[in-house]
Amino acid sequence: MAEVEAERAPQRGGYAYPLWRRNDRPLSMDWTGPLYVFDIDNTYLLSEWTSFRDLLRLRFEAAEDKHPVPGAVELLAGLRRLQPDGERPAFYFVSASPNTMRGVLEKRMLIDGVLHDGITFRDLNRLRYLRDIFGYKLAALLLYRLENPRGAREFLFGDDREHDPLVYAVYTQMCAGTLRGPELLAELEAQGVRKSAQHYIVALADELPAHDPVQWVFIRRLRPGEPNEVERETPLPDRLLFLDDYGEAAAVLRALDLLNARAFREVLAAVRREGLGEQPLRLVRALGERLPAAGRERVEQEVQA
Amino acid sequence: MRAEDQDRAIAEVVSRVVGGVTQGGSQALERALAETIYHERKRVERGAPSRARTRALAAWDKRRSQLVRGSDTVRRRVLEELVTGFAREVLGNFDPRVHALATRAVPFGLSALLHASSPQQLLQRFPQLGLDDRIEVNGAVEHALALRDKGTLVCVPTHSSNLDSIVLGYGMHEQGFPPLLYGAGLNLFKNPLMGYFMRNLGAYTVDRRKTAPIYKQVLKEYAGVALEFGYHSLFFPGGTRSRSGEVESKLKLGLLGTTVKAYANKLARHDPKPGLFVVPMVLSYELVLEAETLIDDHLQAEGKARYIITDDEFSSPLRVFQFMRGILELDARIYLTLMPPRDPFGNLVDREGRSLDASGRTIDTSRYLCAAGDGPVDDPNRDQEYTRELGQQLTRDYLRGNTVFPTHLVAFAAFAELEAMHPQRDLYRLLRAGAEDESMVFGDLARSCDALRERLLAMEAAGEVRLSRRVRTLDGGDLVVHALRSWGTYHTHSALTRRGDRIDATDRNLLLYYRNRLQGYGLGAS
Repeated sequence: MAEVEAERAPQRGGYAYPLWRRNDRPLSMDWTGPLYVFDIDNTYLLSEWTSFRDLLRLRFEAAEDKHPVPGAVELLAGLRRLQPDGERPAFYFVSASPNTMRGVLEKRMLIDGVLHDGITFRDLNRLRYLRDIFGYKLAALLLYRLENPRGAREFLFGDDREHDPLVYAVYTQMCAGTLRGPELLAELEAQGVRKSAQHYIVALADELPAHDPVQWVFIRRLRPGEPNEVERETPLPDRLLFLDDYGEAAAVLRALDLLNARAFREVLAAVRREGLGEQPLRLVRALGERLPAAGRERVEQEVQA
Repeated sequence: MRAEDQDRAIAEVVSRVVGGVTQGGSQALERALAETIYHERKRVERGAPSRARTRALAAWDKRRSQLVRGSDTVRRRVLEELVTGFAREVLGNFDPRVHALATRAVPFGLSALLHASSPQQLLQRFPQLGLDDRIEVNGAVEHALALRDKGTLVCVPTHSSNLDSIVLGYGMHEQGFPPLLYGAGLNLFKNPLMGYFMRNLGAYTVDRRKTAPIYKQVLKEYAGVALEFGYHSLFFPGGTRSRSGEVESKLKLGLLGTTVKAYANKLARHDPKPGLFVVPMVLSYELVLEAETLIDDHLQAEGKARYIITDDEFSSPLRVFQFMRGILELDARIYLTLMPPRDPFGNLVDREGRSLDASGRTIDTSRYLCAAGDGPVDDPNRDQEYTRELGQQLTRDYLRGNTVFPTHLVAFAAFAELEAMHPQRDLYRLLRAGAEDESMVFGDLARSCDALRERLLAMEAAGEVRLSRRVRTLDGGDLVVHALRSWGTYHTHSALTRRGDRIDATDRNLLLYYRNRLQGYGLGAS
């Protein structure tokens, strides 16, 4: 597979967060279509580990041996197919894996037919950044936000294994302009972000207009039905939805008219093949009037059919 | 060929070849010997220095002196020796025990390859390996099966890859066809294990380095004698793998012509089953193992292209493994399509083996060869014309039996986009160029694919071509994504690469190769 060159992050004040990124699709500034950001491990690909041995296996296994999360490939394909504004939606991936994994992960994406418009990996040549997933993800998200049009409607996908719920919550506040300057600095400090990275992130946030593009955040629970510590104890925005499987996400997105009926069926079928998807309407029903009534009705009918 | 028939076959071949030469008199005999000695000596000279080479050169020098000094009797004896030597070399063996072993081993070996995406997965899937879901045999299978006991089958497939013989052998065996006699290039016998199996499964050797006309005559007569002895046979009328990726449109009529002669000889001998049934077959691959080498060879300046390629992807076990892995990951199929059988004159035949005219009426084809009230009349010019007609029918059958995959459709649409961008450029300039500003917009390419797919669907409905399941069901955008997956999963460089919403033609030679599979349908100029 042909390697496409990635770039380092742009500098602010003589410093750049150590990461490798690509943005292959310059969107026009008046673009208002949906923009999806996905994590990779445990969100797109099954990468759960409980031991050092698991970690080694994940690091060295071939693209062909990696497995997508049930329904993820179908969901990504369905979201791509629908072009509400006549243009394909934008897809970005922000992975906490090192850049050395790029080849294997992009090959897996190719095998699954997953398209993306940009992807960011960590630069782990500097090992002191190994534990700073929080700072890394924020920096990666902010860089895409700064390049992408203000009107793009963002849908964020992650899992509850790492810091995704908190990262996405902080990101949402930063975009909205409610968490900036010293408060943001304090939050970053509390999350253990390295000093130099803290100032970098604050500088990026300051460049953003106060506009919240985040529509919904979907967090996949690794243990279906079991809210973890973050979910139980942290105040999170009410647009942050915890999922037991992608059938639930597909139902919400179908109600929002971002998936067509065929894609919805395909996601449901994929999760059901793995013994999941027992309650695809759980989230739609819980969200109630926060979703369009016609959309809710349509999803109810399609599930019952 | 079975052991009990071998001596008889050799005697027959020698008698026909030597008889044919000596019929032309003393001068023809001298010319045939001189040509053979010249070509064979040249071939040996090209080899690396060794004791064997020195001995071989000395032997040819001895024959040359026999040619110069000897009488016609001596010359005839020398020719007989030469032809016998060639015939023994060519002769294939059929060992039912080896066949039984191979038909059990090949499904496992091939399915292991086709199902293995990594050694880890191979082990995991070990008990459930099967090939039925990978090689799909379709078309006139029942029709051809009905004819196997009514005469001799002559299977004539298209040729894209060195894997063809293996896929054909397995696919035909699974459908209940008898073992087939077939010619295979000497390079395929080089691997001792593969060579052992091929020799004992009925393959006869074709040494393409041997350019002497007498050798070619031996090959042709051997193929004809085998047909007359009732051996169901297979040969590739294209002669060699299609270098350009096109469905064969130019066939080598020499070997094909043996069918008419064999039919005439069977009639003359009052063979109770004189029928020869030509079964056109089309092998369609989503990915071709040797595509990169083949198209590069095709694009070499005329005269430099190699007829024999010994260093292609087939010679690299790693590339074969990668290819098979790609086939698995893509859930890819290999289609083997049998088209309705024909007689040696190109007429369709029914399930009883009766030839039919264009209106479907039964015709007696023995009259094509016999004078009124007499047996068959030898007329090479007439036979050549019959063979030419059969060849034309076959090329039409090949187009109709060809299965279009997303890689073919997307390559065709993308190449058309490139041509539209640069209408003034000839093919070679188009292939050499590759600036970034020539990239295509994903959406535009998807729309072109949709339009092309519509045309192909109409053509399929009219029986002009076949479409793979994905081409039938996916829309333009998904077809592009699927083609990108296919190329990116196996080939060193993908024919097309996506960056955001742009598509770049990164390997235009490869793009041309896959695009060419839709050549010949009048879909657009190149």
